[in-house]
Amino acid sequence: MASSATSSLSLRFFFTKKLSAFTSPSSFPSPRALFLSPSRPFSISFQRIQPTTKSSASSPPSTGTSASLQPIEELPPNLQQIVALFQSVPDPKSKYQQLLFYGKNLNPLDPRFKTRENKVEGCVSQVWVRAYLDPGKNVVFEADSDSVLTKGLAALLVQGLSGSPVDKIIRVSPDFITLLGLQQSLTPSRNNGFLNMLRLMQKKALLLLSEGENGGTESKSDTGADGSPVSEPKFDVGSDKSSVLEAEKDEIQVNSDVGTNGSAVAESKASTSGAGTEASSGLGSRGQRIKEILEREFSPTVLELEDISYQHAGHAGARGSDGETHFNLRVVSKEFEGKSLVKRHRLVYDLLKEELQNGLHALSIVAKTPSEV
Amino acid sequence: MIYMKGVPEFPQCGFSSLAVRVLKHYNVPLSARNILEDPELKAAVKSYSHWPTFPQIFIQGEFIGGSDIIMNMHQSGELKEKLKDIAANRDKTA
Repeated sequence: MASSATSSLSLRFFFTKKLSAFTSPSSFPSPRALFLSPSRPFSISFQRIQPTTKSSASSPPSTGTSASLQPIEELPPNLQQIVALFQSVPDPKSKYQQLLFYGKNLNPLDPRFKTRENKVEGCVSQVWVRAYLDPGKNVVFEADSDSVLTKGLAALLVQGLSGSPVDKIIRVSPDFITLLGLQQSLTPSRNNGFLNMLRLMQKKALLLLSEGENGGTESKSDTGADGSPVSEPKFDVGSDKSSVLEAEKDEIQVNSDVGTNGSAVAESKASTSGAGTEASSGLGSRGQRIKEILEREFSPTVLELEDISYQHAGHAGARGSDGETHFNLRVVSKEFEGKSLVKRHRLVYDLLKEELQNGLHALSIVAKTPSEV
Repeated sequence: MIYMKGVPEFPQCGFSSLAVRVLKHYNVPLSARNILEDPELKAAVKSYSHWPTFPQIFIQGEFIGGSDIIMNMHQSGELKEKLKDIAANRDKTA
């Protein structure tokens, strides 16, 4: 088994040197188990720089796309190549290393672009994404992160999505993430962060579009195959960017809970857009119940409850529920005096026992006494 | 000992990952059990410590808390104190 140093070197060779398409499997030695070998029967070239034409990706990957996933041909060509590469590498550890390799080669982002607006929400590490249009009206992305792994994920997206026109980018459904086969190598919050990166990039692409066309986005949305861009311009045009992101986030994360079925995305997005705006304005019923219970028992001086379920959508514990699975709780009460942290947390957990059995999955608790604040 | 989601090399949960990171900071041996692999274990640990979530950290058999508490103790220096004895003993016997 090749060491990681040589493996990344060889991969680099594939990217920079091999410019011709690998047309038929017979042009290679027999398929070896070694993960570096591009001997899978793909007719996709591994060009790195120029986007290839769609026809080069005519044969679907060997894992096949089920009817419910977005067909791989609809993805931007660069992304198709990346998906293909990850699929040709079945071993999770190698996928992981490939990801790290991407991350190492990601160009650092100019610090002045590391703003709140460019920050990806819901990620344990810090990730920034920047988008701008090139002279050919294609979106170019730049990204950076303080952690090597998230750098890799960001780099993957940057490479996969850059150089493509806006409508292609916004039509990318997160299904391709499953095709990458990275899910078992990444924690759910990483997976979720990855999803959020994609969303942010798509949002930025759309923003660029609306900025460029100055509000003439209605016609553009008609061209969207699954109708999903229809709801977005209504949020973006003429509203504050950061609040748009908040509202969109709730809507989108509820969306991803509903399922990865590409065709369902349009319907659920339209139907949850109402629910999304509701969720962003306050706590749902579970949140209310939690607050009531805690207020009753602790008579707290401070009680703050924040629903962060959207950050965990796709998490094993949150799947199949409509949010309200993860919360941040800050409570200040005299009741905590004289009790150790463990005792305090236990108190809270005991009170919320029923909720925990009914789908409440995690609570991040900050429990202080008034004198500690 | 940490009961977590996933394994220290590949945590499958942000909270578990955080706890591992904090604990690795100290020079103490760390054992881990992946409760995702074994639902019985998961249920057993939950009822043992009367604690509904993971990760759960035990030091020398004593239940310490979850990732919030570990983080808190790390920041306040409490964790360092607690682990200091263990590190010292380990070096002696090593």
